[in-house]
Amino acid sequence: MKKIKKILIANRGEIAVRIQRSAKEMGIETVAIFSDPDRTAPHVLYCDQSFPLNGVTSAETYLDIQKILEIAKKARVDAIHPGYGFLSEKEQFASAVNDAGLIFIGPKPETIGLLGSKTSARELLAKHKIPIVPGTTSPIKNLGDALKVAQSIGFPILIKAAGGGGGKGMRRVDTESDLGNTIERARNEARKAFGDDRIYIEKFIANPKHIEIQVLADTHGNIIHLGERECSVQRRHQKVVEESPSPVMTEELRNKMGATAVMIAKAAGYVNAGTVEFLVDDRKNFYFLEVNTRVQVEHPVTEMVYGIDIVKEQIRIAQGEKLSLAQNDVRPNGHAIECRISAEETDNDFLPSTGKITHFFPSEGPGVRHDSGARVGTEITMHYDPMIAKLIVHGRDRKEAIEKMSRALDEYKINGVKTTIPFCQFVMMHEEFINGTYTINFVEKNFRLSSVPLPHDAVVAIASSYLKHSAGNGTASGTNGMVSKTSKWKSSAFYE
Amino acid sequence: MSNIILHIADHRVAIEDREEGLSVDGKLHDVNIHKVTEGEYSILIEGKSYHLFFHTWNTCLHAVIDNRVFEIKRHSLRDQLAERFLKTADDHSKAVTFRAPMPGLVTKIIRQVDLQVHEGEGILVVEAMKMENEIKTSKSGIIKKIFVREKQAVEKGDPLFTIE
Repeated sequence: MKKIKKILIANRGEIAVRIQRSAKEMGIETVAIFSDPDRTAPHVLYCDQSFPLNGVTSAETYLDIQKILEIAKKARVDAIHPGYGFLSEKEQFASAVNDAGLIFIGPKPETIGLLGSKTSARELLAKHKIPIVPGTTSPIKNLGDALKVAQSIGFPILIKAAGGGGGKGMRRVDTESDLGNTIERARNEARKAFGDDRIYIEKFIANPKHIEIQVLADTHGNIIHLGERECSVQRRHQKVVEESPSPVMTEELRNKMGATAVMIAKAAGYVNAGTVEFLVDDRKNFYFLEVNTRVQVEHPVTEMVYGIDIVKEQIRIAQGEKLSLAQNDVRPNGHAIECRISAEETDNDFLPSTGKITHFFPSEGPGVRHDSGARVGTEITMHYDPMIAKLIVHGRDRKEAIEKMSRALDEYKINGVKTTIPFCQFVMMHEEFINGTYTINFVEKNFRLSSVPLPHDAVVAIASSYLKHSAGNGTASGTNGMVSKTSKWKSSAFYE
Repeated sequence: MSNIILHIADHRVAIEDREEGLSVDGKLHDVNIHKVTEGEYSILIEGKSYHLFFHTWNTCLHAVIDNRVFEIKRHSLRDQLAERFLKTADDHSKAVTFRAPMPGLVTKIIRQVDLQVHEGEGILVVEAMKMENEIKTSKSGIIKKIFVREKQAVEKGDPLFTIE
């Protein structure tokens, strides 16, 4: 067993800050890396040491294996935590870390390869007779191939990237005529996001819930699961609101899905923390979707409900310790919900919103957790993911968790970028979310922000402060409010 | 001070700062306003508390209240005339210029100048935050002009193409 003394965190934003917290609590030193725009980001300020990656784009910074390993060597770390996204699910990166004599805090490289390619994962699962969504088990080669598969399973279909998740490279296709174009779009997106443009096809299941199981596996062959997270509230196939437990979960289904997830982990020789994702249809049949071989964005809801620090578990497993818990010791307590606060225009199809944060008052108080990678002055650029922070609440039951989240969202104030907060508020108030019947089609089916009217008092508040604001800025009689020509394109240029 | 006409999202309000209080659409309100920091205000309306912010996006002033963002337009007589003129000019030429809805990188031009296109057709692709966004036309017609080339970075509001 090798005690880890110093970790390089190969990531940015909230997850880099999050990992740094657990490491510090364990008495482990931390090393941050940063791109030029991230020079003064919180993860740089919090870590014990920080080194520049000299560059701006992801490709020349957080995705550059060589640069990261050079820093690891210079800083004399003994382990690297990849976080999520970026290099976290790159077999090549895990191998390179091991080859440099360092511990990769995650699964073995070959496991990442096996499960990271969604097609070989599907092959493995088929071999173990675990139900998967109908589709291809190997990447599609050309349009002819794709068309054949699509016709045999029937439209609508989903095109997905073989090399990664997070909704990047994922596209729904309804008709034959859209297939060629959509494949090209998906390939481009996948290449940019994962450096891998292989794609595969899956049958589109009409009204499923997205439910995933968190697993922990040590190097001694012990594997447990930490129950489920439901992540059905998604836009553009990316999760926005997650909760644990799922409102439709039964003890029996949890045991069954948990056992299946553990079986998959075993079959893959899995070590460290991982997540097995399933689609669950309205008759509670579940289909394997994919394994995410890393810490998930939404891991805090599991931490709140099970009282386990998943990042600490990852580090302990990586230093060769046995799991401190057996399956029977794992018990859910209360209910947790997470909302992702992303810089997006909720009222404009969730388009990215860039800008500098000028005011930032995250929620506080009992049962509220805020994991953030931003502060006043942080510039949200087009180079990286638009997620700014995660707001997590823990309540005695689901009802209290929803009430707490509504309160926390009302309290949360941010200015300088538009965010997903109004959307999350809409979700907390929506009947389908409250009664728990929501599916992954929730947004498409229900979301109309304009249906929430602006109260008259708010209009008065805006109008009256406008007078003071424009007077203070010397624009009382000026052009600040002149009719802009932009109103024309705002209504016409739009996003698919 | 005379009446000011403001458009706040879909609301049109007439406000007047009178000695006896603030008049909104002719109704007097007891309003207590305090500037907290630059662009940040606390407003008490008959005791009810609002915390709001101002921010300029794309040269337009916006109010942020309860994390919802509303564009504010101020109307003077001159503005109304100008708007009427712009509208007539546009109706006459029937040309619509589509602008970038977000900052990003043009990765692909799908359709070329002089082509006939139909409503809903993708004209070009803008990549932002690693997502590829196909920019479609909401108007059928002929592509008169494409203002950008592939690999060109665009700011929000930059003209992309004109359909006539």
